[in-house]
Amino acid sequence: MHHENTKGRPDGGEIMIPIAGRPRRPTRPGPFRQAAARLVRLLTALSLLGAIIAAPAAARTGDTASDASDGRPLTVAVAANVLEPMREIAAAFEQEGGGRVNLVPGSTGKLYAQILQGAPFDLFLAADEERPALLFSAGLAASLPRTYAVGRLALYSRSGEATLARLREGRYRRLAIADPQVAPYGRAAREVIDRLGLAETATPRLVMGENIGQTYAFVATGNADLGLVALSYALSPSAAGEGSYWPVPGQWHAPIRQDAVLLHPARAAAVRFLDFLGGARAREVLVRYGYQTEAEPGGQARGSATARALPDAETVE
Amino acid sequence: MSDFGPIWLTLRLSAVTALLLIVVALPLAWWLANTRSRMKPAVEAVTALPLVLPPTVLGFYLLLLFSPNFPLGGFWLRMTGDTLTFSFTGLVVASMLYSLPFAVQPLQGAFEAIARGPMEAAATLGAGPFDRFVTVVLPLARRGVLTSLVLSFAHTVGEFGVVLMVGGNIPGKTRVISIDVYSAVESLDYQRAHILSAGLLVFSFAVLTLVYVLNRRGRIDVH
Repeated sequence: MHHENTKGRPDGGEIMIPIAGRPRRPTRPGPFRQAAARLVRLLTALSLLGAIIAAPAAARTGDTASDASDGRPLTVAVAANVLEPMREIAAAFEQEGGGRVNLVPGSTGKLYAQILQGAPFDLFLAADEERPALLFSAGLAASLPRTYAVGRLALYSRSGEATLARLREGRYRRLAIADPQVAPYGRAAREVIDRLGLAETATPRLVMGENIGQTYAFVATGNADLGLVALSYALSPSAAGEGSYWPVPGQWHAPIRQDAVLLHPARAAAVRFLDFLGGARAREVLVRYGYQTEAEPGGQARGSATARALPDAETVE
Repeated sequence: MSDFGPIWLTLRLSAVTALLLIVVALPLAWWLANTRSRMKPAVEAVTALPLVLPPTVLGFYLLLLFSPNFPLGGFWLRMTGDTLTFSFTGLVVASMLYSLPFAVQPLQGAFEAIARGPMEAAATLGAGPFDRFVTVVLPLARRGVLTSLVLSFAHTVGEFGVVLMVGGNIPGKTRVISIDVYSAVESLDYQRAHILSAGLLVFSFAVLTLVYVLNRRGRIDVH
């Protein structure tokens, strides 16, 4: 700040330039006129701004009017474990003219708490049967809960083989599970650990994801070298056949029955989606992701879906 | 509510972070306050990044960086036998990054406000650069130092997203208050959520009031 501009300007004459127009005082408008002129300018600007804002809004109103028959897109709260198959199912639903579906993933506990607080979901696809039942008894559900899938747990690793022996012998640094307090797959994982009598060796090395998706991420990024995740992740295309998995026998924990409930106000599109979820096309997707599906509500069992048993141990290279 | 583990852990994490951070922030802020390097804007921008980046971005990159599949994570695992993720040490590293601007900026401001006079006088009396820094700069900038400590401590107490992503919710190691509140809300334990949240609210109010009191005293002294 001190000496910057003196170099090369020995005369320093540039500061002497007089400012033109300064002395013409009488022609300056009075304070009132100045204020009036400012007001006019402000109003012009505001009306322009209003026009800019109003134009697209008007266009939007036109849009919704023409879409009124289809209604808003469905908003479906989805337990994280079933997000990927639901993406496929929602796409198929849209393809068959069912309308747009927005999926909101999260842990069952979080989504349940959000629904209690009035979250604007049309349908809740939980990872357990407990919370949909609670919603029903609280009068927040517009339908009886219906089991759309029975989930399975898998031991999963990206470094070395995921085998029962490895879990038993504690050959891992970190075992990732979902938080048993909020995520049904976490509770099932806890049951498996306790059933195998591994609580003592496993507990100090447990890391917990907020939901089963985060738990999978811990293992997929290599931060945890072993994890108990939903089988659907090990089978999903996003795992790209990487890692090794071992499906945990379903009878080692209480069945992970995943229930769906309609939420108020029950929308026709939501009812259609729920029906679609029980149909053959959706069940094919769920089975491909390792879920078991129930018999159709009509009563006739679909042998292919329920009877499909996974081999006791499977390894993907 | 009998489990005070998360509270104790949060205080310990914040204290360790604030103390280590001031060690890093002092030279960095001094350099920023005095440098004429063309790199200065870039370094300032990097320092301020945690202010504008979502914690999820920071958390995601740390998750990758800490992974044993990456050089840093692999090196750490070989040296210590444990990963940085899911550990107290990892949370300290994450918190130091996350709270860096809160430590550096008050210090930089305080250093920039120091007049050259006392420094030159000290130099004339034969004080070396380090001597001048300790005996002249630090006493003159003590409010900046205090603000920096208090803010980085408080900001670490309020940390959530990064810990959620790299912590793994381990009792006594990575389950801090904010994570515990989140779990409590999700599992509908609103009573626990209330107690912890109200405690944090009062604490944060007290800390910020302290910071403003410190700042006001600073102004009165100057005039």
